[in-house]
Amino acid sequence: MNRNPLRLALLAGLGLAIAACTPTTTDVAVAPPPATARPETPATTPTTPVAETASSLVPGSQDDLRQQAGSDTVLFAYDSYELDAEARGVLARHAEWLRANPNVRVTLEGHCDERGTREYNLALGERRANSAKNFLAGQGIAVDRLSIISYGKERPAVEGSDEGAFAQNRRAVTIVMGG
Amino acid sequence: MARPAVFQRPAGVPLASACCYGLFMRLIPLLLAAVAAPAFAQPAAPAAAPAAGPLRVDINAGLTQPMPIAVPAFAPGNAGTTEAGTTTALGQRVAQVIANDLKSSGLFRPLDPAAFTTTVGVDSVLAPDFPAWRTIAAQALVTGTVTANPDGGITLACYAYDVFAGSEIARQGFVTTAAGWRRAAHKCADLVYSRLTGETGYFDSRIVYVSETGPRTKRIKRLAIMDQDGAQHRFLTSGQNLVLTPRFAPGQQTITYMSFENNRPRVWLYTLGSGRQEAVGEFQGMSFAPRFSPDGQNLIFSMAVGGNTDIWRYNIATRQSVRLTTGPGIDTSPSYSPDGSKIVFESDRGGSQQVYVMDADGGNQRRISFGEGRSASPVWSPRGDYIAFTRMGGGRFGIGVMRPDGSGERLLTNGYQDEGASWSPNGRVIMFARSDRSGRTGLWSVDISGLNERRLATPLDASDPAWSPLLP
Amino acid sequence: MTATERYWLLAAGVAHIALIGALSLAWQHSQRLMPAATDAVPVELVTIADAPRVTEAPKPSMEAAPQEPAAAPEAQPDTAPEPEPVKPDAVPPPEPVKPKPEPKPQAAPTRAPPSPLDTSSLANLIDKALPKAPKKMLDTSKLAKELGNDAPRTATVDPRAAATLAQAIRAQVAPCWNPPAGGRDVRRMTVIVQVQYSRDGRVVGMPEVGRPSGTTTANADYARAFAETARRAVLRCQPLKLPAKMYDLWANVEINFDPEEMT
Repeated sequence: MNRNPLRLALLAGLGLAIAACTPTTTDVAVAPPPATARPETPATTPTTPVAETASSLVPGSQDDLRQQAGSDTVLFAYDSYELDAEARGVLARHAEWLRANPNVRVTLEGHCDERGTREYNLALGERRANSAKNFLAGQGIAVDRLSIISYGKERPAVEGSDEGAFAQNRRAVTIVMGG
Repeated sequence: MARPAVFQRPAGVPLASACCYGLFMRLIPLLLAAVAAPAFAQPAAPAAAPAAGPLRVDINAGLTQPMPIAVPAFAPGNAGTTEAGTTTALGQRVAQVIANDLKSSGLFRPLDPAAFTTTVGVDSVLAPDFPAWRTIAAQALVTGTVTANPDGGITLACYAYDVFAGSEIARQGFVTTAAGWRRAAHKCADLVYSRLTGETGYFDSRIVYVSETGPRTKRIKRLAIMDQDGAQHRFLTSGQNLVLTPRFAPGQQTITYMSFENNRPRVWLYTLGSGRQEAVGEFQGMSFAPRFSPDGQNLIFSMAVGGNTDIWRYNIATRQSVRLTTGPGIDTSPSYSPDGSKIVFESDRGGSQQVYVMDADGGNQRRISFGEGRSASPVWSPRGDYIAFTRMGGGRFGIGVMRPDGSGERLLTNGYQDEGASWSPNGRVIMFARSDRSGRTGLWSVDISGLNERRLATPLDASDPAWSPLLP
Repeated sequence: MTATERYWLLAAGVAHIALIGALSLAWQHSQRLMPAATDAVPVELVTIADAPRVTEAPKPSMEAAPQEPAAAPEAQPDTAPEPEPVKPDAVPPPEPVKPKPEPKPQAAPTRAPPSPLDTSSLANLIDKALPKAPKKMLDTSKLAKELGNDAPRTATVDPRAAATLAQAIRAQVAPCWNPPAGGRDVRRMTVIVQVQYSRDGRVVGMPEVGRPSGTTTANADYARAFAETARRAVLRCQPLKLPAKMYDLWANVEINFDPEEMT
């Protein structure tokens, strides 16, 4: 019992020492995550339907969209914002899902690989997000349920500087914003 | 007859030349004897007159190498002590800052203080021992005094000498607070630089940039500011919001940048000193790629609406905005000419990113870049003679320069990704961000000649540098 | 674990959280409110007291060196006048050209009939010896013409000898010339420096630096720096090694510095 205050003092001192000795790590650690962060599930992970997961999904959630549509992400060719057949197929299922969840609004995020200058990529990401938005609008989704944002090359889906990584990073992602 | 070694072989002659030079010096007597001999072998003509005019010699090339310069510790003007240390200690630090500035330009080679055969005391500041400085081949000497003032501040007296001419070539005093000693040292270095090169200096300036940390997929980016030499580093934003592309106002008290605050990517203003942050305008689309006009009254930036990106001008006082480009392509990265009459920008209207110039009102748009690959992110030099840009090709990015009419294109750097060029206030040096395939990124600078590529150390990874104008 | 121990552990935990929290808050606070430190500290420019000018003779090594006794008396009647005391503000070269101290040395028997020596091959040798030095050949015809005009008919200076002499001077001075690189107008600028040499090849007094060609109000600072590099080249690369017997030819030299062949 007598040693407990000592233990406290030691622990407190240790805490202080750690805090004092690692200011930079502290900085990073306490910096709140970017407000723009969203669930960091690999966007292109195809959901393998498992009986239990299907029932545990919250309808109208991001996971629900991913589950029902097969993916929340469509990919683009280098320096392109055209939707290919596969992308149109995915977005058509997003439209279907949006019709089934009429209270849900989504944001279309446009992203680029790193092989472009920063400012150009912001514009290119906007074009990609806009392509996806226009497609959904064309499927009859009310425009006021669709917003867009471009991250340019600032938020790649995967690390790496090879064609495999680039292909996954050139994308538009449908993000559920709630009802 | 003992001659100083310096005259035997000029200092700084590269080894290769030196060897040839030495050989030549040995050959000269032979050569000239051969020339002279026939002249005197003949019977002397009576009343021969010498050439009336002086012998004319043309020198069409010299050597390009850093000038050896001596920057001994500044002498303490009194025995005072300031918040920043004693005058003796400050005198040493001032000399180090000045030597480091001059060295970083690539145009000067500060001599190793260990080689000094003399020092400069307070009583010899005005009469340095030139022969002693000549023997170590210093071509110029920078010295002075640091004096503690009764109010706690300091006075830095800065003198520059041409060692071989044995003459003073510049002097200036600087009065500042103790904390301002670095600025005073930078101003002294600027004085020396400008006096010896004939160009304005750039050492008393700052860099604002984006400090980066964390994995690439969720990078944390913060605005940070530091002196041009990396000293006095401070963060300006917390990292809560993604921030990009800061640029200084001409008065360098305000920074414009892009922030994703509240998931609304748009242009912001940051006021140094107060730390006040303010979003610019209420626009339908995303605003980005901001830059100030040379008079500081306008911003130009891109706005993306419905898949189309155009360039707009925004008056900060009246909050009125004017659209300058209307085409269906991506028009971005605008930058004013220093006189404010023109704007250089990039556009993909022709199929891929190329550099274009237009009048400040949007008229007379024309393409100026026709090199290989893509040319992007143009930035007009503050002295007006060049436009820096990013060249993309073969999976690599390099920084290049071209004349404002698109001629004289030269690539200065080549990296995996070199981008985000920013000019030094005198238009002589370009700072840029260099990233490698692992995603690490840092700040580098290169002389407009393409020489003197060097890295500027930052506490964390760094990108999007913006060089301030000279401080007032 | 007793209740008391749990209490202390809990207290320790709370204290840690509070501590870390406080540190975090303090840190965030400092990030949010960037203090006035981001304002640049003002620096005031002041004129520093006028002090004794530098009066030291600029070429002590020359004074220390023994003069060629024969040369001094007649060949250099005007060596004595020191270059005017060097004042800081007098450094800029665009000074009015003061009358040259013409040594007017006695006519040397420099009449030279056509020499069998192939000076052009010598020139090649010189050029090879100094790869960075000019490739351009001296305009010997012009020099010869001038010499011819100035000299009485009966006397001629072998133009090839003069040309070789010029090349020898060029080869010795060029390695000391370090023109400022990267200036906007460097390619348009040239400057002429008038140098008086003593018989032992040392510079007498201060070389006279002319006004650089292409000087404008906009580039005046650059022109001054440019001119000073030329003067520095002359002062650094001395004494010249030249044949004393031809001293009359090189007692006064006009060096034209032109960076036209530099990249």
